[in-house]
Amino acid sequence: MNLIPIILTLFGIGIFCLLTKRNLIKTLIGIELLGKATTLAIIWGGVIQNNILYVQSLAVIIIIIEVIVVAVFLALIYAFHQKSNTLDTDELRRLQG
Amino acid sequence: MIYVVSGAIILSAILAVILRNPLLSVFSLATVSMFLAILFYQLGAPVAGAFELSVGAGLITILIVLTLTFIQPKSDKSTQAPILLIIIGSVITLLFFVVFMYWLPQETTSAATGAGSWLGVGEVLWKTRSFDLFPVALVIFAAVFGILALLRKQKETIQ
Repeated sequence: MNLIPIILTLFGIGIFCLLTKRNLIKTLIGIELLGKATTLAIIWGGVIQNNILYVQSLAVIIIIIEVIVVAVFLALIYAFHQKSNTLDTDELRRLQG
Repeated sequence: MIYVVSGAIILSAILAVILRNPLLSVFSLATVSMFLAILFYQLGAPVAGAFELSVGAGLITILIVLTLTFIQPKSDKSTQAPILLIIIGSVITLLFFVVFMYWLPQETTSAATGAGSWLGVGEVLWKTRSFDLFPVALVIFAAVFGILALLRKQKETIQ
């Protein structure tokens, strides 16, 4: 049993979503997929090293931080949508300078 | 069995990326979290699985759907998910979940549901890792204040 290909595939899907999608909600989904791949990698590392208790405590903290990231990102999306009435990431270029 | 769950994770992740409807994408992301929770449970990490299920599949989905309802105009029909599709998808996902939980290997289930696992994680979290819990709490407070500041500023701009 080896979960490394699953982790890499999940990571690749997240990177693909971040690079190709222009919708801010899709960007958030890509970030979420990257976070889930990371959590799975950490749990898998704990399984390999037979140190599952310590790794679970790490995973719990990571999941909590993930929620914080999502909440802040959603607040930014809401603020950006109120300002520009769109979710297109190309419009973010107007915020430069 | 683990490979079946892993395949379901990859399939749900691909659906979350390629679906055009943001609501269906978010529901696919919740499905990823749900299958990930099952995988954590099968790997002998029930605490992480419970957190992933409640927070990843529950709280994050609710937050994103709530934001979508705030920012989507009512006249925008393209982003409204068909109700029948959502109901059928939810029933199929629930059936998969029940079947997976029923067919979990017995030794994994008995090892994962023991109270020692939960107590052990709590002991590690509060004793071994008490040093970084304080910065994590600070990060959470900073994020809460940041969100409040963002929304308050936005409200003032609208007024």
